[in-house]
Amino acid sequence: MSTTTTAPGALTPAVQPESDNYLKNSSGFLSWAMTLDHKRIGVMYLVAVLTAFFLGGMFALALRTELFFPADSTGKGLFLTPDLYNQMFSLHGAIMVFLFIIPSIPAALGNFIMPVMLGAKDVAFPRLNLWSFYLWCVGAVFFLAVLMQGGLDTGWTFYTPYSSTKSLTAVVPALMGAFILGFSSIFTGINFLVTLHKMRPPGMTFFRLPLFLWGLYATAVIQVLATPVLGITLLMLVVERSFGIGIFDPALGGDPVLFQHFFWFYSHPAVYIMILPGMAIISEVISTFSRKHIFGYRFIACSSIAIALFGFFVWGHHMFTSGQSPLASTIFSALTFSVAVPSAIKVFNWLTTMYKGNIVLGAPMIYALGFLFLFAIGGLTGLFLGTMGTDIHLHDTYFVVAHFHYVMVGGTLWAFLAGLYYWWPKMFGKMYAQRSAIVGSIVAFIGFNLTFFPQFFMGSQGMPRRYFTYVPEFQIYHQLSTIGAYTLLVGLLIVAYNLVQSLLKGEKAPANPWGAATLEWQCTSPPPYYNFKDSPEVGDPYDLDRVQWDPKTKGYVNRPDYVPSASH
Amino acid sequence: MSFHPLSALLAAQATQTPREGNIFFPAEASTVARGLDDIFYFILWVSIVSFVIVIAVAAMFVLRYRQREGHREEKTATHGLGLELTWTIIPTVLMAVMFFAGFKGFLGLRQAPQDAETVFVEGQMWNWNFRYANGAQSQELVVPVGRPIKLVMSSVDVLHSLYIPAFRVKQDVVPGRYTSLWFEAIQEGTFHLFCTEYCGTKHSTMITSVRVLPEAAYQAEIKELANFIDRLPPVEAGERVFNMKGCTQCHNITTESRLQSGGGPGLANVAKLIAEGGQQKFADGSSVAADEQYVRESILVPNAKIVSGYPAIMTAYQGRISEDELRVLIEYIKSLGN
Ligand code: HEC
Ligand SMILES: [Cu+2]
Repeated sequence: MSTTTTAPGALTPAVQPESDNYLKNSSGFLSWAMTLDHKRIGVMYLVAVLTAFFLGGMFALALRTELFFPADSTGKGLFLTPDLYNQMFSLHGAIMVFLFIIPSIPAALGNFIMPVMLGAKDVAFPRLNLWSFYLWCVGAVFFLAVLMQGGLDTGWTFYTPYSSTKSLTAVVPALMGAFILGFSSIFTGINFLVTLHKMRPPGMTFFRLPLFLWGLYATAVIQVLATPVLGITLLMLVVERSFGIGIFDPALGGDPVLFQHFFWFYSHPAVYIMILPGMAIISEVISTFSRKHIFGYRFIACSSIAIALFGFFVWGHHMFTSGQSPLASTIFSALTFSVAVPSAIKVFNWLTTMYKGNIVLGAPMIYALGFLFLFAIGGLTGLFLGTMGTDIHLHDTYFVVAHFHYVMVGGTLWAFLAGLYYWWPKMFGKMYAQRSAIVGSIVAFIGFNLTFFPQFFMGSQGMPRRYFTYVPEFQIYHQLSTIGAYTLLVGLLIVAYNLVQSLLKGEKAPANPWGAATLEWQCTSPPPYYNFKDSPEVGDPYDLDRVQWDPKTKGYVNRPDYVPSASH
Repeated sequence: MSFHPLSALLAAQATQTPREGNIFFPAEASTVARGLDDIFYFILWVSIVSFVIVIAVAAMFVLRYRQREGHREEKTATHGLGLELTWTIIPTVLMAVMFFAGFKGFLGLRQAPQDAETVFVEGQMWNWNFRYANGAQSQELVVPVGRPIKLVMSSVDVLHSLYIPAFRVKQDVVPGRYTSLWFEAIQEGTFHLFCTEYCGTKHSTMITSVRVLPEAAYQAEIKELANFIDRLPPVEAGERVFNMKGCTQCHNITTESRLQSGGGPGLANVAKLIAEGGQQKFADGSSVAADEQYVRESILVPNAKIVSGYPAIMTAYQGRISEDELRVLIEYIKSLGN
C-alpha cells in the first residue's frame, strides 16, 4: 500500500520517500546508542522497560507458585526458602516500580509521542533525554548487581531499621540503583516541562494541548518536585547503613517513623506519576474510538493538575497504624478523599464522551474499557483504605495488595497497553492483527481478575501481606490467585506474540489509522526523522471533523474543506 | 451484610449483636468490630452502586453506539457545567460521610477506657512476649472476656505490627518507643494474632494466638504463669523460658542446624560440648571452653563471640531476661545433651 494516492489538501501529510523515517534514516549500533532523536530514545526505553517488566513478572510468578501451598510443618516451602521468597517479593516490587511502571508511559510512550503530538521536532534537551535513558540503564545494572550479590530482602519500601541494620542482603547497591533511577526520572520530568512550556508551535495554547500532554505535564511536575526527596532519603539510609550515623535507627538515636514520612512523601505522589499518564492515554483513546469530541476537556485537564498538587499532601494515609499522631492521621484522611474526587470526575467525563458516539471496538478501546472496569475497582477499594476506621483493619493485608494492583496493573498497565496499541502503527509503521490483540486483552483481563479479586477477601479476613506461608483457611484464595497469575501470563504472551507478528508481517500503517485529530497523526507512520517539515496547523485536538475516512489508504486523511472551529 | 441508615453508622456503637464470620470478615469478637464493619459495609454499598452504574452505562453505550452498518455518531455538547458540578458534588458528599464515620471509628479505637488493664508487649524478630500486671509472661496473649485490655508495646529490634483480625485492631510496634492499642473481647475462644509489618526471614511465622477466657480462668492462668520458676524443677521451668523468649524461632533443641532457614545452631551441640568439656570455635578463629559462662554470654551478648559459620543475627537478651530465668534456661540447654 503506498501513500502516494492520498487525496490532496492543505493539511495532507507530506509525501515522503520510504527511507525518510526515523527507523531508516541511519543505521548501525551507534546510530541508536548515540542518537538524540526522541523517537529512537523512546523505542530504546520501550525495549528496556518491557525487559524489566518481564523480569519483575517472573519474580511474581515464582511468588504465586510458592504460595499455591503453605509451608509444611517443618517450615519448608514448595520450592523457595523464606529468605528467597522475601528477596523475590522485594525485587518484584522494586523492579516493577522503579524500572517499569514509573518510566513506562512517560519515558517510553511519552518520549516518542509527546514532541510529535505537540508539533515539535524534538524535546527541549535531546542530550539530557539520552542521558536519562543511560541513567536508567545504570540503575538497572545496579539492580542486576543486587541479584548477583545475594538479593535484597527489605521490600521495595526499605523500611528502617530493618534495612539499615538488620538486613544481610545487598541493600546499599539497591539504594544506589533507586537513587540513580530517581535522577533518570527527574531529567525526564525537567525535559518534558521545558518542552511543553517552550516548544509549543504557534497556535498551540495550553488549552489546546491534547490531554495526554496535560497528563505528562502534571506527571513531570511531580517527578521534579517529589523525586529529590526520595533521593535524599535513600542517601541518608546509605549513610546510616554504611557509617552507622544514626538517622532512622533508634539504637543509634534515630527515628524509624521519620523514614516512613520521607519515603511516602515521595512514594505517594509517585503513585500519581504512575497513574496520571495512564489516565491521559485513556482520554485520547476513548475520544478517538468513540468518534466523539472529548467531554469536559478543561475539567479533565485541571483534574490532572489537581491530583498532582493534592497528591503531595496525603502521604500520611500510609501511616495510620505507624504511631503517627491521631490528629495527623485525621488530616491526612480528609485530604486523601480530596484526591479521589478528581479521579471520579475523569471517569464520568469519559463515559459522557462515549454517549451517542460511534464506538469502534479496536484493541486500544478494548484496553480502555478494561481500564475503566479495573480502575473503578482499584479506585473504589481505595475508599476503604482512606477511611481511618476501616484502614486499621485492612492495612498491610492482602486487601491493600489487591487494591494497588488494581490501580497499578489494572490501571497503569492496561493504559500502557492501550497506548501501545494506539500508537504502535505510528511508532513502527505496521498494523497488527486486531483479533489476536483483543483475545490477548480478554485473556489477560480474566487472568488479572482471577489473580487479584480473591485477594480482597483474604485480605479483609486478615491475611497479612509479605507472608511466605499462611494459615490453612486462606489456601483456597491463594490457589485461585495463583491460577489467575498463570492465566494472566498466557494473556500477555498472546499480546507479545501479536506485537511480534505485527513487526514481522504487519500491513503497512497509514498516517492516521484511527482518525484522531491530534498532530502525531499528521505525519507519516513511522514519522520522519524531523517529525514535520513545517509546523502543522494547530486546531482543537478533539475536533474529529478535521479528518475523513479514505478507503484507498485504509486510513483517515484531512478533509480538504475543513474549517477549524474557533473553540471546543 | 445489611445496610444501615447513616445515623446508626455515625453513632457506631456496639449496641447491635455482633455478626458471625462471613466471606468479608472473621466473627466480630470485640466491642469495636461491629461498628467498624458497619462503616465497611456502608462504603461497600456505595462502591457497588457506583460501580454498577459506571459499568452499566459503559456497557449500554458500547452496545447502543457500537460501530455498525448505518450507525453514525451524533454531535453532542462537549462540556456542561451542570453535569460537572453534579458529579463533583455527589461524590464529595458521600466521601465526607465516609471520612466522618471513619474518623469516629478511629477515635473509638484510639481512646482506651480508663479502667483498661495494661499488658506489656515486646516484639522481637520473630516472637511475641506478653507481660501481665502480676509479673507473669507468656508467648500467647491471654485475656479475659468482657473487660478492656490495653496493650503497651515496644520492639527490641525492627518494626513489627500487632494485628488481631477478629478484634479489628492493629498497631505498629516500634523500637525505642511505646505504642498502644486497646480492645475488649466479647467472645471466648482462640483467635489469630499476626505480625503485619515485614520484619525479615520469618515474618510469616511471627504468629501467635489470643486466648479469650472467662474471668476466673484468666486469673488462674496468669497466676500459674507468674511463678512457675519457683514451682517447677529448673529444667522444666527452663523449657518454658526457652519457648517464651522466642529461642525456638532460631534454634532446634537437637544438633540440627537452622542455618538454611535463617536461624542458628542446634543447641544440643553446645550441650554436648559442655558435657565433654570441649571447646567452641568462633568466626574469628578463636575458641573458648564451652561452659555455663559461655552460654550465659551467648544469650546476653551473643555478638561477643560468633559461632563459626553463622551470621550475627541473634538479638541480645541483656536487660530482657532475669537472673532466675537465665539460670533455669542454662540448666535446660545443658540438659539437651542427653
Ligand atoms: C534471631 C534468631 C535467634 C534467636 C531468636 C536466638 N538465637 Fe541464639 N543464636 C542465633 C545464631 C545465628 C547463633 C550463632 C551465631 C552466634 O554465635 O551469635 C546463636 C547462638 C546461640 C548460642 C551459642 C550456640 C553454640 O553452639 O555455641 C546459644 C547458647 C544461643 N544462641 C542461645 C539462645 C537462646 C537461649 C535464645 C533465646 C533466649 C536464643 N539463642 C535466641 C540466633 C538466634
Ligand atoms: Cu514482625
